[in-house]
Amino acid sequence: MSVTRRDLLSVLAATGVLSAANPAGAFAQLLKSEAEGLYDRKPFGNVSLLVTADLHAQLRPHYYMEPPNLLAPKALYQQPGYLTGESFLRYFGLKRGGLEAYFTTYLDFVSLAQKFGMMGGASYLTALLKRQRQLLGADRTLTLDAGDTWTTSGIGLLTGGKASVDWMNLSGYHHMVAHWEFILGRELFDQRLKELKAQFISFNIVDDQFGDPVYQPYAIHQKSGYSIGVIGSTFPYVKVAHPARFSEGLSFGVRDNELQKYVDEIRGKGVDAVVLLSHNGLPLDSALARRIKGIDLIISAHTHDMTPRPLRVGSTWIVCAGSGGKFVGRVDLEVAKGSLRDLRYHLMPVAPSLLEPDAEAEKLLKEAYAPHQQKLSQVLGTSESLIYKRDTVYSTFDELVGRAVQQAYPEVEIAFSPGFRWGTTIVPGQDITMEQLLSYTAITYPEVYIFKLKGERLKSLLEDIAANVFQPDPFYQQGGDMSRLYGLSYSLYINGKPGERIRNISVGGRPFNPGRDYVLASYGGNLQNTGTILEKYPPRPVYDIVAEYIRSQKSIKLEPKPPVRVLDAAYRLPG
Amino acid sequence: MDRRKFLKKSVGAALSASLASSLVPALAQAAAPAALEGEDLAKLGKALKDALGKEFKDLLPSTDVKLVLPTIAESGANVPVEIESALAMSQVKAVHCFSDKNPNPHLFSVFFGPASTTPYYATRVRIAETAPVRAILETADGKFLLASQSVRVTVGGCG
Repeated sequence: MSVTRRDLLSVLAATGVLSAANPAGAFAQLLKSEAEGLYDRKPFGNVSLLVTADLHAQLRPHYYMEPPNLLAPKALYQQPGYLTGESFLRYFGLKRGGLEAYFTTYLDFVSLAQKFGMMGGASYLTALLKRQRQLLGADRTLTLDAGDTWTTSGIGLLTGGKASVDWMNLSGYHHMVAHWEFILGRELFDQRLKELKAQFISFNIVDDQFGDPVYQPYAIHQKSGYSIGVIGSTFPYVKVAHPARFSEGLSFGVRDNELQKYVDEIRGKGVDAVVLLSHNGLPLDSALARRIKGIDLIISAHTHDMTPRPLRVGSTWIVCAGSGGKFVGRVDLEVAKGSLRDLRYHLMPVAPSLLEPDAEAEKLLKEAYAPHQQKLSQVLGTSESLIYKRDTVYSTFDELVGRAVQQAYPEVEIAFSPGFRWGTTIVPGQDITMEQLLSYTAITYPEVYIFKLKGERLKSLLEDIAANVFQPDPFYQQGGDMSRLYGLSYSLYINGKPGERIRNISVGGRPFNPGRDYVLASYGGNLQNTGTILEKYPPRPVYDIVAEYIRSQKSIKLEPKPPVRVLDAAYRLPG
Repeated sequence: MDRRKFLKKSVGAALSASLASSLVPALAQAAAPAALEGEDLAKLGKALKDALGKEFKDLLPSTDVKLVLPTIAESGANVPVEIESALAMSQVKAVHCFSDKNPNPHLFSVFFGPASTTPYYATRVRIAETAPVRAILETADGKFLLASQSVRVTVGGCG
């Protein structure tokens, strides 16, 4: 194990295992019992599902801080999916300062990172999956991945998703659904599906001319004498969120009418329990559970939520397994003839300090990394402060992008950075490597475009994005957090009517002029198509621009300074 | 009708689609927000007057007309719309479709003839910006039944 004695001691101290009664000499034994408490819970019922989600090809252990803020419209305020920090701990009955609090909230992140070390890592995930299958019995177990697994990291991008596919093949997955996998383009996506041993299922990807399903919509498994139906649902807005060229000929969507039809169809085949493996996100899946009859359990991904306890909406259970490789979720089901009687959910943190990495997975990673190691381990600079990504409206990583873009293009007045949920976290004192930079930016359309846009169009664009994020009806939320703006400040009225959420705009400290053209920069979306692209600036990948900036600065110090004033909710900063 | 592409499904497909979606409970409609995003009754009213000789208040919101379309369009240029009804064919004269904010809010009208077997129509329409789509079913006895649902047309970004 690549863990120091100090790490182990602090894990034990922090989790309350180590005390005067348990002197440090016994730490190996204590570590073992700590891991057993987390990972070796007694099986319940007769069928188990092992679940991972939103790995985002983070194949090596890393830090990932959960958001300080998940701003919600009134109707969804303080609901699961919008709980952070203390509210999250209270709702799920967790203790501040413990390992689970470190994995699930932003609270005390930097000090807890020193205590508990890094999170996730593919070889630790494999080890934990194998350990669970051994404990439960492989023949009562299904291993499911809820998507966003192949791309959006350095290794994900450089291997075109292959590293994750090989790792999934080694780790015994049965099914998966998708979202960011589609940025590989349809041809490579389908190629990877051929290489994948797991079966891809999705009822909601259809031929865009005739509406016929393109992939297997569902699968039925016999486990412990019962029949388990698993319906797959891929992210409904692949075509809206990404350039259309990646999914030519396909149409996606929530397709609730068709979902009901498939639920009824497999119920008609005598399935005892119906599971939806979904990349809709927790708010939408909660709304869907109210609308669709006959789903026993939704495994919900996309919004990176974590549910230390299972949620219940009507007669449907919902569980989430976090993101970035931080968790394996284990659902133990008590299935009876024609019904799911009861279940238990264990959201298990993947703590490298408590697990032995799987040797086969380590070997596979070494081979996958070998041709790219030199590029990925390049040190660009050092961080003196916390560089994080996830939040509804602002992050220090996006601020870093803004500074870098403005240094590269002094003409730019406003730099947009997309509200991706994925990324990594860099703690103060850590080197910033190319791999970390790519963890925030590794997409197949990374070009930064410089374009002109009239003020009034810009305002309506911001309102449009805000409507996608803050619409109280989840069927009208496209997902993603608010785009981050550098150079423009505004007040946000979350519960405002459409067109009235963005207020008091100023640009570069001067009052906003709706009649004037502004020079904007953006990447990772379609925003540039709304304005006039300035051809004198050939598009360059955002990671090149940011790498150049970090190299020029050597050391990055970024105290969080959000240019957004939230008018109708509290807004918290980390630290 | 020249701007629109047709996607006419067979009567068989239409029937199975209508059976499936009739299982969706009324609760689904009730969960929608009270004010429809992008509503523009002034503009819609004028188009209703021109096309049907009716005003918005003449339309009766009814669960007898069912409108199926995405809540968020993949492309505003090509939005699939289905209109159907559980009413007997003999009770239905026509369906009319509008979207409040289109340059011309009247999208199409379909009159059912003696050969029609089921009050169902599916097509694709162009929606200019986020606004409600209105399905209006004209009954044989001269009533105008209404179902409405907003569709978001967005530039997108952020996954």
